[in-house]
Amino acid sequence: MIQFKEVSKIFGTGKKEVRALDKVSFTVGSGEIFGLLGPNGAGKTTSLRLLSTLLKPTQGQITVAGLDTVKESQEVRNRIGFLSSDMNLTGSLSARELFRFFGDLNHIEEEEIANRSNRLIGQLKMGDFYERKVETYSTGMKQKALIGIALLHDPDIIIFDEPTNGLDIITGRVVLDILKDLKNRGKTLIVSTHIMSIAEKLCDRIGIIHKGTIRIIGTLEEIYEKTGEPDLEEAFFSVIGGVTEDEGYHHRSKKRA
Amino acid sequence: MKDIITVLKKELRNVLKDRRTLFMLFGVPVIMFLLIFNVMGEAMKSQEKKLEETVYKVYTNHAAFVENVFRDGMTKIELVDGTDSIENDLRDKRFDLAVVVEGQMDRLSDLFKDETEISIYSFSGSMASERIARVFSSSVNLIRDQQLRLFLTEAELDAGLLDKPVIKSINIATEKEQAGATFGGLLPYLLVIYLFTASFSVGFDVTAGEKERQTLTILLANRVSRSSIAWGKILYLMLMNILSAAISVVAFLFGFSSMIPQTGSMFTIFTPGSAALLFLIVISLAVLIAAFITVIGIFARSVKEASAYSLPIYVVTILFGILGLQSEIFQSQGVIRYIPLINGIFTMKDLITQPRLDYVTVAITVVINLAAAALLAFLAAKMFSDERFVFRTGN
Repeated sequence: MIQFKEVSKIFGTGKKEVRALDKVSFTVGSGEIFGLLGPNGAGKTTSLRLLSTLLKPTQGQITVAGLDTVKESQEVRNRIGFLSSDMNLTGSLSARELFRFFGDLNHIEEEEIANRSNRLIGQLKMGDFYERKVETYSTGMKQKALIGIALLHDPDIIIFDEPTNGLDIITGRVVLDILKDLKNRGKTLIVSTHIMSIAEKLCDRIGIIHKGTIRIIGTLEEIYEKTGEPDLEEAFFSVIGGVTEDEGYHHRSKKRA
Repeated sequence: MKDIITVLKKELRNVLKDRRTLFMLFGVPVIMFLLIFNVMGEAMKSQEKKLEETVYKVYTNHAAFVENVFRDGMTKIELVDGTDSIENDLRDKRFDLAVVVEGQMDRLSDLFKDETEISIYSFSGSMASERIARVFSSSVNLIRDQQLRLFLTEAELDAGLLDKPVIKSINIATEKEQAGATFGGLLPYLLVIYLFTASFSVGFDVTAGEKERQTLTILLANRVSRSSIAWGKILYLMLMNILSAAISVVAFLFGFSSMIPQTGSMFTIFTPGSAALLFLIVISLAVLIAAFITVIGIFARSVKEASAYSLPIYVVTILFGILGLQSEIFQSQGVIRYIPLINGIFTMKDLITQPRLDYVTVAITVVINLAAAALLAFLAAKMFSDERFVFRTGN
């Protein structure tokens, strides 16, 4: 369903050149939940932005259901729902009005927009704030509204970049429930997260990315086996080569004997 | 087209719910102009009244002559004795006027002696000084004419010679043309200023502002085409530009007419034909400015940066607006009609001031502006697809 073929992404030129991704290849099958793990600056967000057609690869090719993300970007966007941690909502419109707007943009019938909006409002436990201006929303409320917008056109592929970032435990649980529901409905999901428990609970396969390259990819069992580690967190640190000061990690877990 | 309308409707819905922005865009100009002109009108009336009631202080070395000049009592004066320096005392407003008479002048007939010379000192930095100098000069001229008439009559010559030739001043301008001359330069200038003003506040908000606030990504990640986003925002801006400019200009002209009623009603400057053509030009300018602002807005990293980029173009446009207001250096039929944006100012001016409508120039102006707008819109759509611009933020 999703295929990254030798994908590289370079930002800037000359001395300012940054190689964010270097020949990244992986596939995600239909109905699969793929977790992309990696430290900050590893290339997770770049990968997901490339997949959602917001960025173009410098080298290589990405296809979604056989569609090229560069040549057929509009068709690709029609099939995906994208949520990124750097998205924001402001302005005088309410979540309901925004659902209506994005429904119209996706050419969904008015009645259907209303039905889907009501369903999402219930599912996301948006209470009565969906009628208020989004500029008055808290971080959690905004995240719920953004998830609603990403799912409104009922896409087959859902790309969530750090979906629980900055959320309190209650809102985080709501988001997790949504992800489970999507999994049960057979949707294909790519989720980037730094919360290992989410990856462990949800993902069919996991890829750990570091410094622009995929270091390991497989099911949880395969990763444990390859790394010889008992849990994902230890496997993660084993793969990225431990904690270094320049990356700012403060790993306090026990050292393996 | 459906997507363009959807984007446009969303932006309109958003701004219509934002009362503060609406008030700043449409309410403030109306209140500001009506208030400014009313205050200015009242100030002018009060100034005029004050000047009429003022007792002007006059220094002279020939009190009898000066009192004779002002003998009708219409202008009240008070003579001031002695001065060390006329210039300093005028600047210090110790007196408003100084009249120095050279030569012997016992009678009014002495005005015609060779040695008679009258120096009138005034200070143009003072309205009172300027006014009393003007009144004094015209009164002296009147007295001189009366004396000449007396001489001619005594010499048994025809005093009516002084009234020859008969000069009749006939202004053939109609009320429309007179009002057009007043508003012709002003209206295009104001329209262009206000077409830009709305763009600055609203236009950069929906482009550079959305980038800054990170609200643009959500739109770009949707299936809508980049050109629909670009055109939706351009049309939204165009509408806001036209509405804001129309309301501001009407408020300005109402205020202006109420302050200076002799300029005639602003409505007399239009015929249905000229109004329709003016509207066409305004539309072409509004869409061009909207496209320009959209390109700048999507290029810039922030609203602040976008404002800095667009300022030079704005200043050049204002400069041409002032030239159009004050001179006839540029003719709309010349090369200027091929320069987008600037052509609109001069074509609008001609449309209001010239008796005959120049359809060719209007057509060229509109086509050139729309073509430039289409080019910019195409560029804007390309920029919306280009990650170098979309993700170029100051964050």
